[in-house]
Amino acid sequence: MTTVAVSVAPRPGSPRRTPVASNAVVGMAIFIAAEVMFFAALAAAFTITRISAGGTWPPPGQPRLPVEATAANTAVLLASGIAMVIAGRRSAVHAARSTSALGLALALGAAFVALQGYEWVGLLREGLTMRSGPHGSFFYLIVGAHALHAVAGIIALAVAFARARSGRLAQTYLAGARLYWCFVVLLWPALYWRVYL
Amino acid sequence: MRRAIAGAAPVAALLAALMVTLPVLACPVCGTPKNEATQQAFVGSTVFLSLLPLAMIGGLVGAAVWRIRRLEREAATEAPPRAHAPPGDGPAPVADADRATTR
Repeated sequence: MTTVAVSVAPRPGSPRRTPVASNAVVGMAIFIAAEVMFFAALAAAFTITRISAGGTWPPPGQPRLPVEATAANTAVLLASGIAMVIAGRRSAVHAARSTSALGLALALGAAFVALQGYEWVGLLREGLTMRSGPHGSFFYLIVGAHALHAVAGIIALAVAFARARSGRLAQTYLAGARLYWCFVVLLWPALYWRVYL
Repeated sequence: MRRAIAGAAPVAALLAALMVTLPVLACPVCGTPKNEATQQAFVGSTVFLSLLPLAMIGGLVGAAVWRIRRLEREAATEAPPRAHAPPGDGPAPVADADRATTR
């Protein structure tokens, strides 16, 4: 029985077969592109309705949106996104080092959704509902759709956090979750500018 | 005779269709706004929604190109200097794709 080792040297000038991006990142990018079009269509419909209503928005008799409180909440979400980026960079060095940053991103994201829920309760008490007019319909549709995406992102962050704590966090999973959370974070200022201001 | 009629029928149908058509807008609602601002909003949203997919595709391609160039730079810095390696001296370099065959 003879063992023969075959050495395959790469040809000079031949490109290295290194994947540009993982399948998780590519799939998430395609999904995000579809979601961007979804939110863009909602924002376009809202813009046309708002301009068609004339110069006054919200319409007379409808409650005003809490612009200042939501601005502070926007800062909370942006801080969560920054923490997620830091978690990704730390994870590139060592997966265990990303745990604290992941936990911070998760806590700030959960705080954003909780504050949004608190804001909704106040608006419902003031009479802003899905059936109160186009103002309420578009507000709950656009902001609610974003909140659903934020909840999905928080679940993904919680799974990543639990895996990082147990030392089973895969880089591909974290890359997909980070890309999705960055989408949720960066989408919100655009929606805030369009819906609240 | 029947063949001639069958051949002329599509042409006659096309001519009839051309006679009854009217100029229309590609955007079905852009032509019926309440005021000038609403019409501008319709046109602006149509342009925005038309260009957004192209911008996203361009962004994805740009990100891929940037990533490829970065990987190429990293590979160039990590690669050993082949020109200075003495031929025939020392053991042959063993690649990752080495295979062992048992006979």
